Amino acid sequence: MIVEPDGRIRDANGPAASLFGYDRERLRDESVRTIVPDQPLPLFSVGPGPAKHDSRRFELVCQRGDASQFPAEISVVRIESGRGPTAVVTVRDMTEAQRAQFVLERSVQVLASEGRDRQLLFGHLVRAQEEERKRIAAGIHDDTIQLITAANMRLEQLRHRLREPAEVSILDKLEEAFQLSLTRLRQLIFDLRPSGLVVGGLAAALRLRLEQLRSETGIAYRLDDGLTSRVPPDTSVLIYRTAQEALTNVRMHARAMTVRVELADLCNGCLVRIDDDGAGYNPADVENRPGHLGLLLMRERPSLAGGWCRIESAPGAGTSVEFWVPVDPPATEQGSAW
Amino acid sequence: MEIYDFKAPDPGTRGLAMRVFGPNAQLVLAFLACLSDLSQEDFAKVANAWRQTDDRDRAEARARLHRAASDRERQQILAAASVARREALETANRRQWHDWSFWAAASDAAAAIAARDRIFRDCQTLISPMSVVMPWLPPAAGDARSGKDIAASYLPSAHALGQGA
Repeated sequence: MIVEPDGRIRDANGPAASLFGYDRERLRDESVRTIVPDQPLPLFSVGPGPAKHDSRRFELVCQRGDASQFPAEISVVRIESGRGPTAVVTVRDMTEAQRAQFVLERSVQVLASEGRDRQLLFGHLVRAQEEERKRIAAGIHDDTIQLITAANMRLEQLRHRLREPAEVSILDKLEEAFQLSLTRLRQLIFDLRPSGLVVGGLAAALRLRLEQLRSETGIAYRLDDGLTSRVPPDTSVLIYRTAQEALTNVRMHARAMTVRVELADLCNGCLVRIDDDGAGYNPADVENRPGHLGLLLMRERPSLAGGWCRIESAPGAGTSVEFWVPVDPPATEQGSAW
Repeated sequence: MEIYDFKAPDPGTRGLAMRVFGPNAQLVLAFLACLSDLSQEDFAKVANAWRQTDDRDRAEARARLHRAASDRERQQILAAASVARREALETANRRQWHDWSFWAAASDAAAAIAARDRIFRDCQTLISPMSVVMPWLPPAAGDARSGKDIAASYLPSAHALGQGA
């Protein structure tokens, strides 16, 4: 629209007339106050003078011919012509833009809220998982293993009554099966509730796990334990579970010859590094596929405790897992310096 | 290259980026935008510089950043690191580059940029490998210029930073 210094609309193009719901003719000579009521719209920042262009932008509420209103961005460009100053006024209907912005803001709030909920849920699940593991391990220890041990003792009593070599042979096989069951159940208890963590600490528990890996797969290991600080039980379990996940991946996927595990004190926390010399993988391929909960768990567990985790690999270059977990409570929102 | 220009009248976009990446979102976005401009030669320089940094120094720098941050700030640091790693990984893959030192360096640098102003020495440790190819990193602590302006003052391609939003 071209607007005279007195606020009279000299001309308006078709889209402007359509935006305000007027005919072009009807809009001509109308005051700009009709379409921008009750709000200041400075058309000129300086008074009449030497030829000068200036441009300003306002966010105002405009009114259509039917009295309905809409948010608008109005730019006013002052131009000098032979007939004196005039203003070119451009109006942009911001209804959709504002709605889009509202949706964006709302989405961010939802995302932020979902992120918090997700983290809370994840933390709850991890704790619930540990509780459930303890419960199952206790059940196996207090019930199943006791029953098998009792059955084994009865077999021993039975042995004294048997005379036939064929019967003794059957009994030997039965005892062997019971022993194997006990060994496997004890291993299961260790997996569910790594007693090594309580008895010998993190390094001892990891050494047992590595020894088991070596005996089952032939993968050699090196464990460098530089941890001197006391790690609280909950943090030990978190570190152990993360390392366990990494070692499970070594066993299942790496095709490695050796794995090296390092534990170190760092910045009032524990730094763990697990490197293998296996086949490696392309993270761009693997991480894009759904269902890699193991990688997700490895990353999320240390983050939950206020730490970080890096998992990197490349085809033919092995895999490196490095994570750090604070061993005392990290800063809280209140403790923030930001 | 596209990046949000926070001087544009778009408080929604600005708010979004700030919530995700924290108060240094502008610089994080400038950094992310520049990653996709890097060449194989750049990747090699970064990877080489990253490998020359002591592992323990790097881990310690990240540990200190996390220790000094609140829960919310940690999430912002992790978000910046994660997005930068992803961007660098995809850029590297597009150019047939498979040395993970490059995207690890990008991840470290983004974490430090998100936490800029916090522990400057640690930020320098984490940023220095990327600064081999992005000489505008690390910006001086307290540098009041916008991320776009800092980048544009060094990188010709960064003049395009203002075209987005």
